[in-house]
Amino acid sequence: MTASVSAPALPARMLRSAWRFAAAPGWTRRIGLIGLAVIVLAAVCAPFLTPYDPTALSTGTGLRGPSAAHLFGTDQLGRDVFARVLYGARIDLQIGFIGVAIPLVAGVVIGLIAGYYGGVLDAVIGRVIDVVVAFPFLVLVIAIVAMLGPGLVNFYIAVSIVSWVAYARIVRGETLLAKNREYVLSARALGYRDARIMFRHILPNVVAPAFVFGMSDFILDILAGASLGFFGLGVPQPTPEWGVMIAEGRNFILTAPWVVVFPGFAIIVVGFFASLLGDALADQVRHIDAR
Amino acid sequence: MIRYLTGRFLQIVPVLFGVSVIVFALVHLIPGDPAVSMLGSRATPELVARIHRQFSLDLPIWAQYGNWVANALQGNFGISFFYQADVWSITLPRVPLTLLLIAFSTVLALAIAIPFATIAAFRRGGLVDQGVRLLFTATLGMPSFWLAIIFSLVLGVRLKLFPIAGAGSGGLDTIGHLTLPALTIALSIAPILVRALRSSLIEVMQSDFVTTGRAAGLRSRTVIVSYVLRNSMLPLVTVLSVNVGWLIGGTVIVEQIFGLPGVGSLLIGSISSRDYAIIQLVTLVLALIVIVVNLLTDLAYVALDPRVSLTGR
Repeated sequence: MTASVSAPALPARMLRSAWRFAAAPGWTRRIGLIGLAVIVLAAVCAPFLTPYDPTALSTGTGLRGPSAAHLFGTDQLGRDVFARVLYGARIDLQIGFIGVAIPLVAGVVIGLIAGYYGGVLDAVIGRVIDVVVAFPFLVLVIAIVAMLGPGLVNFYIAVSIVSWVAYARIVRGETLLAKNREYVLSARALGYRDARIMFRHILPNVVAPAFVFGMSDFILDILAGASLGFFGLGVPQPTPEWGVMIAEGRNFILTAPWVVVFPGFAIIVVGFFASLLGDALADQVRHIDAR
Repeated sequence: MIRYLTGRFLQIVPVLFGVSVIVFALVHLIPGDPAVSMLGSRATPELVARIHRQFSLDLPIWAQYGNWVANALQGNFGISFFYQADVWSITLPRVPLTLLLIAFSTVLALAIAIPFATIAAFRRGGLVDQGVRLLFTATLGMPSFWLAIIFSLVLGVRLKLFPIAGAGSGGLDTIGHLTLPALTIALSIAPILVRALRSSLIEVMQSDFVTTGRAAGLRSRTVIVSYVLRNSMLPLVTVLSVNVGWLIGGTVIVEQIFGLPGVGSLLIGSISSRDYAIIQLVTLVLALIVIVVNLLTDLAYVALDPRVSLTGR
């Protein structure tokens, strides 16, 4: 990446990089991108893809196997499993996006500040990071949600408290390397304010590894969110969420395995595409570094 | 060496302090009065006052923390109202089973990862390599709670290969009971191990001493086993150590589903009974396991690789 002092605004640059990434060849990124795009589109267009209401109860049609009328069968309350999986994508994808977005922004800013200023501030932030990573991620999230009470908002609060450290650690390390490079030194020599140097000049050059981690964190958050839903700590019923659906179907697993199997497949498929995309992103970042 | 070890032990002190602060602070996340929320409909002024005393809630926050640490150091983490017993005496007997499950899962994860990673590395870029990659990309997104249910249905109920509930009566019976839970956790961590081992194998295979070994006419099995595999194991130990928190998260979920009386199922069970003191203690114990495992890994490194202490990491 060339270092220019009059760098264009970050959003414009990010859009351009995103487009370059999407347009580049490579079958894993294609499959990952298209797969995720199809899932997002399906979640958005859910009402046009299924005639059923995901929460509508119907008596006498419970626990029917997959058929032409009910692609994934029906659950114990006669609700269409396909419709519930489709609408569930809205919740679970949201869990992934918000669960990454808040910690990513917070962690990147904190890591940037710690790495740039160094000194006591950096030492304190470094110790806090050491402490939070000593906790198993899922255990601390569960403990925090157990205290705050169940629900999606409390899950986001818990994830934000725990996950930012991973991003901060990555960006801090990158910033330490970047701050002695020529483009930063010349920006300093020109007398720019610290904020401008940090966010306009250093940030674009250190943020890529955080996005790479964000892709695997996306999967991790969906798994955590679904696990909490499974244990009754997530969204309340009857909202369709994949973890909640698996928990509800568990009692009927012997007679109606489809109620459990399909939401599980949905999580695996999202994880699969996100992981392919994450690999492609990681490769891209490695290439930039090699240049 | 001695200096390295002392330094490594001293690093733990601030971490332990921070961990204790976070565990202590958990109770303060409870909206409203923790005592009222804990007791629910059972709340009487006497019981509320008793819980205030247990958590020192009437004191200033620093004194609360001081009391909590002083009590914790004596093994006094409070009383569970649900179990009507000392929290410490409820939690401690459950720790060994959780440790056993973590160890067993690690062994199974290695048993899965090593052959797959080796085949993939030796057939690098080929069809087998791609197949292994796709297979483990798929297992990466597999939710443990879902896999646990599917395993108990297929391998437990239908094929009757393994028991699916409880911890058994010790010895081989317990190992049998832990097989499905451990396999579930092992499959969730295997993708990370396969990936790490594959790339470290490829790196080692390209190094000079392997070429030399081959050129010297050593049998290819000798080269693979005592040159390549042996030198690729060390990075794997690091990956395992870094991901021990992930393993522990898996045990929490899996214990609950298979009805194993470890600390993980205690944690989940204590949420609905609002046993805050138990949630605190289990969180603390699981964090301590992570810290100890990371410490042991570093020590093992020093023992296995003399370069580590010399270069002063």
